[in-house]
Amino acid sequence: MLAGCLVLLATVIARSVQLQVVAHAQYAALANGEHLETLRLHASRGAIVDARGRPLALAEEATTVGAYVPLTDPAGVARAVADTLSVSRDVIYTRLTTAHRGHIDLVRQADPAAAARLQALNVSTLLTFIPEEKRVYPLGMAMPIVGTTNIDGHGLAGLERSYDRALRGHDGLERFTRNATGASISPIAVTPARDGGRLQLALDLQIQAAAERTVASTQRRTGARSVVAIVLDVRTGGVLGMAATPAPNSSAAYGEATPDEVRLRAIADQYEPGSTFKTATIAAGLDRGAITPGTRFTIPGCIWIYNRKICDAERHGTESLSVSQILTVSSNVGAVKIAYERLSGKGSGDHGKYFAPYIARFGFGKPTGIDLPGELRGSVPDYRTWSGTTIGNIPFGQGLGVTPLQVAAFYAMVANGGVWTQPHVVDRIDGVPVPAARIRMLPTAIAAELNVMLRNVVSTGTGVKAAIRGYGVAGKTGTTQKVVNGTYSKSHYVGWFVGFAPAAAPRIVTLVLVDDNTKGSYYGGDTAAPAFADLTARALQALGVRRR
Amino acid sequence: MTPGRLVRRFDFVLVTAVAAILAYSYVTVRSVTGPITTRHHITYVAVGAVLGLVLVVVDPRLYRRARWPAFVVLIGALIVVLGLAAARGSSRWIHLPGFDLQPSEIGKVVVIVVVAAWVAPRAQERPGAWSTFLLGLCLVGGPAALVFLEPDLGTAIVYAVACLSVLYVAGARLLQLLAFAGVIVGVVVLVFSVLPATGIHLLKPYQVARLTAFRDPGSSGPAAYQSQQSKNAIGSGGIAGKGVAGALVSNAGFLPEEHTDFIFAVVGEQRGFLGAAFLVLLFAVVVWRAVRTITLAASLYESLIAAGIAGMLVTQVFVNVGMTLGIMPTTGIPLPFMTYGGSNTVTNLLAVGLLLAIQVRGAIPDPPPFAGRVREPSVSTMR
Repeated sequence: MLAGCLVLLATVIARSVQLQVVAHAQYAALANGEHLETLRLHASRGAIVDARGRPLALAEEATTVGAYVPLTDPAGVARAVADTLSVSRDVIYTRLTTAHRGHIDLVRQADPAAAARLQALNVSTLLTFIPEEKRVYPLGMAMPIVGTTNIDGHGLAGLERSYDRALRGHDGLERFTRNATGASISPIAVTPARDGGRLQLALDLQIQAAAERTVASTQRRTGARSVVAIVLDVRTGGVLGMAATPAPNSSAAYGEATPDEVRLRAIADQYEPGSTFKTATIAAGLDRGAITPGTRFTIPGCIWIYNRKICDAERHGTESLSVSQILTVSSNVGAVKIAYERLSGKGSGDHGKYFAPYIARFGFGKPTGIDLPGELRGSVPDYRTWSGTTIGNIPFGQGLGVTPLQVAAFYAMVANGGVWTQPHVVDRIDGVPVPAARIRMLPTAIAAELNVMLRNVVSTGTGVKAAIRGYGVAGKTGTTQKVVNGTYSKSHYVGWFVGFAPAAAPRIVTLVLVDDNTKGSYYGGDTAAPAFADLTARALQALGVRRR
Repeated sequence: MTPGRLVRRFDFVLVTAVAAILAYSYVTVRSVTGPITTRHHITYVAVGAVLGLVLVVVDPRLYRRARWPAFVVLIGALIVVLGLAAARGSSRWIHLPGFDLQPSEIGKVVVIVVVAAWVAPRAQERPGAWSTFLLGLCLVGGPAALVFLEPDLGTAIVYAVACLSVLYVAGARLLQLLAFAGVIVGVVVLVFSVLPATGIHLLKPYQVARLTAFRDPGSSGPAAYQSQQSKNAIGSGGIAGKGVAGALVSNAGFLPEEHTDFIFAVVGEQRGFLGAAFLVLLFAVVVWRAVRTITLAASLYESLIAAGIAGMLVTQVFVNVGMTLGIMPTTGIPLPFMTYGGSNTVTNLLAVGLLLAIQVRGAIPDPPPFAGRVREPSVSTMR
């Protein structure tokens, strides 16, 4: 009898082992499933504002209206929703009569006020009203830079994408237990939501507006395929303005723009730098001690480098030009001779041996590291692959690809006394400055010599149309033939002007690039320089820099 | 009966095990109920303990004389309950001032004593007689039927098993037990298949639902819910348990009847396998001491009482714990000494008192005195 009793009790214990040891995980999950609840605490996406706090992107409250389908009277509900929220009745009706069962969204991110009116109607008992956040771009400016998010607030392009993590913040979690009636008993753990960071840009909306106007007017004036403008703060490397045409419609959404319109041409397109690159060639010569601004070269109208004939843009006889004059008149032959004669090694294959390292040092052929998505590195031929004629074109900016931003950053370095500062769009996140890398590339003295030479370009050389009344301007023109079907075209050009002002104490670098103009002269000094002057003057005024 | 003999033969192992279960019960009931319920619980235990200790000093043979009046009172009380049930819908209790009496609980002990008293002389005269077996069953059949009609199927089963265990120890033959088992199967078939087909429903709908839920755990409904929550509670307790604060299935209202019939699920969730197995082990000790009492008893009549009590206890433990573990259908059987409830607690403590009373008057002689030393009573009881 005792044995029988103990068998029964042993059975009970065996079953306990089965439930509590073997199948414990399964029952623990079942138990937790009914009394543990997790609630997501929504983190608000951070705003994006310009240098003076003017809003570029904001999070706005919105209400998403949904319903549990099927409904008994879809037509009536569709009418109420459509009339109140001003949406298509047919669209709502179609959604309501879908074969899907359960909860569906009818109108995502509707105006909260309209949704409140809908909530006051009788049909609202059949509807759900879920508060959400909607991303809005109140001014529609700097659209390619600011970028956009998808409807769920995830960054897709521009700063919204590159700073998505900082902007998004961290959703909080509230874990609590509920009892059998569904009431919350006690929160177990609350991780509060951390709202996304507020991005304060270096961008100044006044300068940005000027840049957007300048590219648009230059486009009209020159009939170009596209125009690019960049304004950089010389001291900080901050992007004060950046615009390009074709531009998106500022009153439409990002999603309605074509990829061409929202392309960040300043970083995502590469061009041959042309004569703007001669400054780099001369900077290399000066830094190596191979030349001084006064070093004179004998400059024929054309020279032969191996099988290639290099000529200046304007025909002239043989003359003697100083380095400074070579830059002023933008002599191709002069630039080639500086690199060929003064920056080559002793061996026959060592042409430009001491020049090539400077190209990389000045930041060409690698991304500037700007905080925007999609930046190109450019294409600079590796010195080991240079052919005999390479030394005959790179010194004046042919045979390599650069982004407009790389050129602007290089001139900012010259303007900044030889210190290169990392170009960037975002200045501060939640008031905390974002560090920007600073690299000394040239001695102050050499930067000063280049400053003087570049002033001459504007005062007496190819860049006279870049001059601004009341401000000293230093800069350089550039005109490159576009490569069409594998050869340099005689009818498609890119005109550049890049420079800085006030020349005596530079505050900003401005770059204007006119790609493939169809009206008037194609020289950068004619297409880009006037736009440069216009934009730079407006930018200086926006910054409160006084005229002399 | 001298006081010294009473102390020397007192079963401290049994009392300690019961006290441990009662302490376990106190802790568990207090963790899932309020102070008022806990105070009631302590009162019931105190009353039961006092009454149980009173029984120890009363010679069990005295009850033989009172068996028929007691039986008549029991039947009367059960009929009153049924009448009240018809009048008011409350089915198991007689409401007395300050106390709700559940006659079917006290009836367990009464029935065991009555059947033992009736069977003992007949078994000694004609061991294994069919008449004794059948009439003994009939004797318990009356109260069991009344309890079944309350409706309280579980307690009716306890009556039946307690009676069978009395008859078994009284010398029932295997054939008789097999025949009884056959009759049970026949009744089950009759109640579940034949009678419903002819339009007679003896089982209440909720009983059918519970049995359905037991056969098909995935089904819905309150019975299946109760069973599932019980398994969730016990299973989620794991090896070491979730502690009192973490045992949310039982604490947060998901598990109904958590402090009464499903208290084992609370133990399983709070204390895990270790705590639950420890409790079952304590019950094993109690049952062992009850079975041991059968062999220690001075007379067959007392042996049979012990056998009935052992059967009653083990049936309640197995059916109740089995129910919380999902290996027995849901029936309203309490867990002895653990479940909150007056009548049940008092009844089980009375049963322990009976066991102790039988033991101290037992047949085994006192051990020889140890020369020159005062004997420790615990030593003699531990043999």
